[in-house]
Amino acid sequence: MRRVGIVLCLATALLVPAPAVPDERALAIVVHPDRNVDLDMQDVAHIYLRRRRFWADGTPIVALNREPETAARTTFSRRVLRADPAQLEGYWNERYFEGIFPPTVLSSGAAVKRYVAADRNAIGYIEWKDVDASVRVVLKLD
Amino acid sequence: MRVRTGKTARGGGALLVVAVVLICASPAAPADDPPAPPAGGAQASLLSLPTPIGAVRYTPGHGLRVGDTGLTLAGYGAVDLLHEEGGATTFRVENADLFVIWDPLARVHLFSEIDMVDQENPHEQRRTILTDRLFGDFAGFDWLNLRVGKFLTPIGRWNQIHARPLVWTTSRPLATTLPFDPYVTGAMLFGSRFPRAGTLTYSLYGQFTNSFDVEPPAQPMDRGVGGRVEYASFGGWSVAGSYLAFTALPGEREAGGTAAGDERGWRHLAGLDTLWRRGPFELWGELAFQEPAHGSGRQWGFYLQPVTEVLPRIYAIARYEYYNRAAPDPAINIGVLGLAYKPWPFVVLKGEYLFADHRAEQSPPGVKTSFTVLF
Repeated sequence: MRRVGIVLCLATALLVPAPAVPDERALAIVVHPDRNVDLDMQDVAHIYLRRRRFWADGTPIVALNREPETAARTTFSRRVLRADPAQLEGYWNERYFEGIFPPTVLSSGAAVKRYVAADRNAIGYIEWKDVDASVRVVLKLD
Repeated sequence: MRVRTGKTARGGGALLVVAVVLICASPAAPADDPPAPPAGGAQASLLSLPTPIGAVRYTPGHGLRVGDTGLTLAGYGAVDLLHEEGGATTFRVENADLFVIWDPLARVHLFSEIDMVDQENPHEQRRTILTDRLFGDFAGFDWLNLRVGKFLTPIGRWNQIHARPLVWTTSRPLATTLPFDPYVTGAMLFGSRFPRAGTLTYSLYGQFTNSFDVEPPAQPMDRGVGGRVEYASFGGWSVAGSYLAFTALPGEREAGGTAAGDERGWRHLAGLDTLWRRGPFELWGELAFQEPAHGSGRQWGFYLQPVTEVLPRIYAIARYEYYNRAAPDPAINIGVLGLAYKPWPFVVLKGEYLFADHRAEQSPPGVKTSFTVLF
């Protein structure tokens, strides 16, 4: 009887869904509402490493970053680029030798959203809670 | 300075047409772009001055951005303190290079590197103002770009990022400098495709005009065509293969750099290089094999260089090199043990000891230290 109880407890524990990451901590990769594009994590990484520089229609991509010390930048870098911003210093130094610079940095999520809403070629990331109709979400980072 | 001109007007005209077609064939950026925001990377700006042409910003290691003009002034410097075994101790400014980078349009990237102090060998005459690189990139698509001008030969990894702050040692592996000319003056098509979990990058290039503003390298190239394919994985490794067919310039060769045989004929070079990074560990390796199409004179070499971060921002470096020069010069085995300290991402202090079983003029045994900075 005691063993059955333990099994029931375990089963119950397994059936209870794991707590989801709260949406307020999730990030949204956003583009202009008119930009009809499907991107996966690797596409976004290519864009933010400035290897991929043009949209499929041939227009140049304007990638927007947050400041290095922000939680959003760290989360984005770890999840998408698989490295902390500091670990990418060597990569950007090498690109700098070709005259290629890292993506543009904006100082807040609100600034990123405003820029993306205004520029059809822009892509950025903002906190999920800040998403509204002015931008189009192409990827959610939980 | 050796400046050579001529025989290029026709090729230059064709390149201009290709560049214009590339730019015109690709869709233009919308005219109602919002104003350019400030650019930046992992470093914070040290200086920011509002001006009528936008903010002038200086970021250590990423240069001075001149407002919204698309112009950036940047560069790097290196100071060496060297002690050759059985020889003198020398202190010298090895590099003071200035980059002028201008992106006037989204599809046009202009780049020049001017070496203001150049003295590869402490015994040779010091030169000033040497154009190391001068090229324009015209981007059509991710998979198709055109580069025209003087640029780094895309063979191996070291040659393409050879700036002192970007490499781990003061000395340079022989396989990255003896078998080929480090610069191409001509044109290159290059681009990338993006298969799953990686990037495939190609380059096809040719030197069909004369080199300009060069110090004679160990293996100067007259005419040449080559290509390179590289696969870089998101997992932190890359592998690449290179090929170059070229004719050598007569009469400007240094010992060990060229071979006997059919001096004016074609030579073929094949190269392989790899990089593997995981956590604090990194491994570089390159192999280059060069031989004339006819006659003797084969030379080849390779190096393997593991690097690990032993303490925060302190790196231990080891390198084994083998270089088989053309007969009668003996093959060389070289070992390098060193440390590098990066107090900031744009500053590197290096110290190393190089030992060898035979002396090579280009890489003599001894202690080599340097202070390098990207500015």
